[in-house]
Amino acid sequence: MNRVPETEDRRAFLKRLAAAGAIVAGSGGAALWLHDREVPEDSGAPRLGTFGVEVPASAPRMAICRGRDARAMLAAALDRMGGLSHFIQKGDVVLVKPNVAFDRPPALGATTSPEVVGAVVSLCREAGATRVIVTDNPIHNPEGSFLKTRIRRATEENGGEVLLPVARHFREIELGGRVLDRWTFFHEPFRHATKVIGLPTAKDHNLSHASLAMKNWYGLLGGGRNRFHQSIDEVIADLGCAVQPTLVVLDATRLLMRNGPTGGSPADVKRGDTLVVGTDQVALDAFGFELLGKDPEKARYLKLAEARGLGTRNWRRLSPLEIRTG
Amino acid sequence: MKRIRILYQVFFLGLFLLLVAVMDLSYMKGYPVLWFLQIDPLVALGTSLAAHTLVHGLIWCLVLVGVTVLFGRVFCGWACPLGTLHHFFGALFDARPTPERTASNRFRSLYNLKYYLLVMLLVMAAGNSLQIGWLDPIPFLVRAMAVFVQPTSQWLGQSAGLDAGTSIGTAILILTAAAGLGWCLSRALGKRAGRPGRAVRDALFAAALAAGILILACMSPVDQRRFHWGFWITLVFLVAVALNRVVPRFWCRALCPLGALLGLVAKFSLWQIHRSPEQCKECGLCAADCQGASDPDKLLRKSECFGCLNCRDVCPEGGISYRFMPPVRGELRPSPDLGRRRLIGAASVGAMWILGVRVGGASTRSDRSHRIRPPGSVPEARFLEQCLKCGACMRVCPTNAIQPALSEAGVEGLWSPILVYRVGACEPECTLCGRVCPTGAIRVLTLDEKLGRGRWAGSPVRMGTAFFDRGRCLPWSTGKPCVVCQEVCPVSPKAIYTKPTELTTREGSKVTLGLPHVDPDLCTGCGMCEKECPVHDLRAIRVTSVGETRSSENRMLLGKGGGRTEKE
Repeated sequence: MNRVPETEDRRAFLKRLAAAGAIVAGSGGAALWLHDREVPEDSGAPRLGTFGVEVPASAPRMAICRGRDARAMLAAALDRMGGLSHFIQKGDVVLVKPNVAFDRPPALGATTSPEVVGAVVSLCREAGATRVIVTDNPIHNPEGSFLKTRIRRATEENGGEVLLPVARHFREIELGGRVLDRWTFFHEPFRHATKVIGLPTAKDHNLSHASLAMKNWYGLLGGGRNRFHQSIDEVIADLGCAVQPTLVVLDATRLLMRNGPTGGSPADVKRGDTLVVGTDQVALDAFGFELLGKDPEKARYLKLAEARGLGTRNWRRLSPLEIRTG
Repeated sequence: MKRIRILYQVFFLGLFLLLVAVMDLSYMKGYPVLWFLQIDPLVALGTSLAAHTLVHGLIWCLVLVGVTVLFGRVFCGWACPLGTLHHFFGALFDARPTPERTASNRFRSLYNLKYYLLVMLLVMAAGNSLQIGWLDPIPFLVRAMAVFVQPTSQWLGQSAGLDAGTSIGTAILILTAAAGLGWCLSRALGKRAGRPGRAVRDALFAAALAAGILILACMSPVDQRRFHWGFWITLVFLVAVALNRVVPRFWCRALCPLGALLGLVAKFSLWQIHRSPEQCKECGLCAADCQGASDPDKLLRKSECFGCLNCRDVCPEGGISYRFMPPVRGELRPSPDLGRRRLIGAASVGAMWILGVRVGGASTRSDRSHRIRPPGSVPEARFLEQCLKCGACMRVCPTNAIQPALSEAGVEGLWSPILVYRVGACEPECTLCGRVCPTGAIRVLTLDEKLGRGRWAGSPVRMGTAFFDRGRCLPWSTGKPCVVCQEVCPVSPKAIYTKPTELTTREGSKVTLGLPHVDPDLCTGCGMCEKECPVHDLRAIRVTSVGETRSSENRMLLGKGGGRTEKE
């Protein structure tokens, strides 16, 4: 019989023993490490902060300016509101949310005018903001939308930065609405922002009659946005309550009078030559309805928002100052 | 010389990758993104045979014909980006000791296959079915880039948080890691072959490859690209690369129809490799690393030689040179032995294809509902004569709507571009697909023509028509309000309108609801409605190809004044 040398046997035995031990220890350790003793509890989704600032009772909550030059109009309107420095301080990171829903040229009136975006960005920078992040989650292709609306250029030329939405920018947020409770939200810009400025454009809308300040927050949502239309008025009211901005600038330099919210023909657009600045989204929207030649009484979402105490539909009660620049 | 050649190869592969990277909405600024497709003489010859026209930029193929007439098949050895990839992987996978390596780089009669494939593909083209894009390396690689490499790089890049703002430090780190990996792999594999000296070169090449992928990743759009059934394109590409493990540069030697075409031209080239019989000691070293398997140690097969100059560099006697019209005394085999019967056989296969798919399979029939071609596409018969299936339109489409067809466009239309509106819609202000089409299968449109303005007032380019599936549409079938389709319809006035209709609910109360309808006179078939419809799987509004501008048969409406009654 052929005997294998004993030493070899021992070494092989020890090796095998070590390997077996390593497998047991490794798999046991991994299992213990991964093991959940209890079903994890729902820790809840985070909420959005509020971004409003205290306005002195004496200051107007809304200012209307008519004119042609976006920067001059904005500066004049903000002056009446107590100056931008009241809202934006040195070191702030400002999130600006224009309407960049579509890949269309500005003349079609479906998106916020680049001139107004540029004016807001540059005034924020002058007020001392360290960063101005301009962002939206467009319906059309994001690169194309920011390019062809010329909002990318207007932003970058005035010292702002454009943030395009990618999948990792979204997370579930508790919005606390009646319909919109927990929803996938474009959260990334809010991780940095200390102030939020809504920058909607005034336009017609096929379902909610008009798309103005409150509807503009649609662009901060992800997920199945196309399901909102089944309760559009509730969703808009929920959005208005969920996002509490520092300031809203309603761009009515162009008015999309019909075929909204996409437009598509210059014939659908009318000159508006108006900028409205305010902190009451309901009042701004009611005013916007009138600019578009529509009756704010028809807007169910405005009634809902007013009933929830978000603002007043009677914008005249805020006694807004109306100014005219060159 | 070898080092210079490698520099050229890396330069052309890098250029190719860069041109693929800039073939993107954010970077298109008049760069010659089609350059590689345009200098490809097989593209020019194939489309000329099929469509009887040499489309604009394809005239540049004369440059490559000229280079080949002068210097031989040097494109394969010095410039072809797919050839360079095969070269690299062939070298990386090649762990054979010298005698075996010499055997693997010997000519085999199997390598004549490419000539038969070329003949077959040209006969098919002459029968108006352009299929050269299956195997022509440039369309092949553009397609693989569009459908596999770019989306994968993008995914990797986004997972790693890389974008246009990536710092140079991170980039250097990644490139160093790639070079290190290339070096280790090359050492590990090369050691077995007793040739660890290639490690530095392989490391540099791996870094260059990583740089290309990094560029693609950083320049990627924000929306992740996905291609339905792109899997098959990926599989074919990976198999083509993996074949280098079995035989180095198998693709270039046995399959590439462009190589075959250039080989036939190279027969007459003025410069060539010359082995001086006086100096040759018949050591056979020159055959060990021959890229083209052209037997430089025996009778040089001129049509197979890539002019890579490996033989020249390795000859210990300095007996091999690359010369202008050297004296030839029977040490040359200029043309491949193809055999008349086999050529006729190859041509017959091509002819059978025409009979089988064109006549028997009715590829050009006009009633294929899901064959929705990009805007500006020429009529289908012409489309099949001109489309290379190169995938440039798929690469550039900003919404990812353009997808490679599997069966939607028939057998002849495999991998040709179709619009899949579940994935993306055709955005009104975009005409990029026509601008990157190398052969004019998708025409260059102006926005005025596409949108029906100015001279084209009232007749925009239509891709098809949208129809409601009332059994699935929320207002129609469940009585819930919705009409997202109307909201996103981009034409003015909107092609989707609602009729307020009084409905009785389950409980018996009356509600008024806007029920949506399509006005086919206004619908352009852009697919925005289908894309945004909340009925997520099978959408409740879908576009089919009927009404497409490019077809006079695939119609349903009478046209002007159709459906209106004249006042008497």
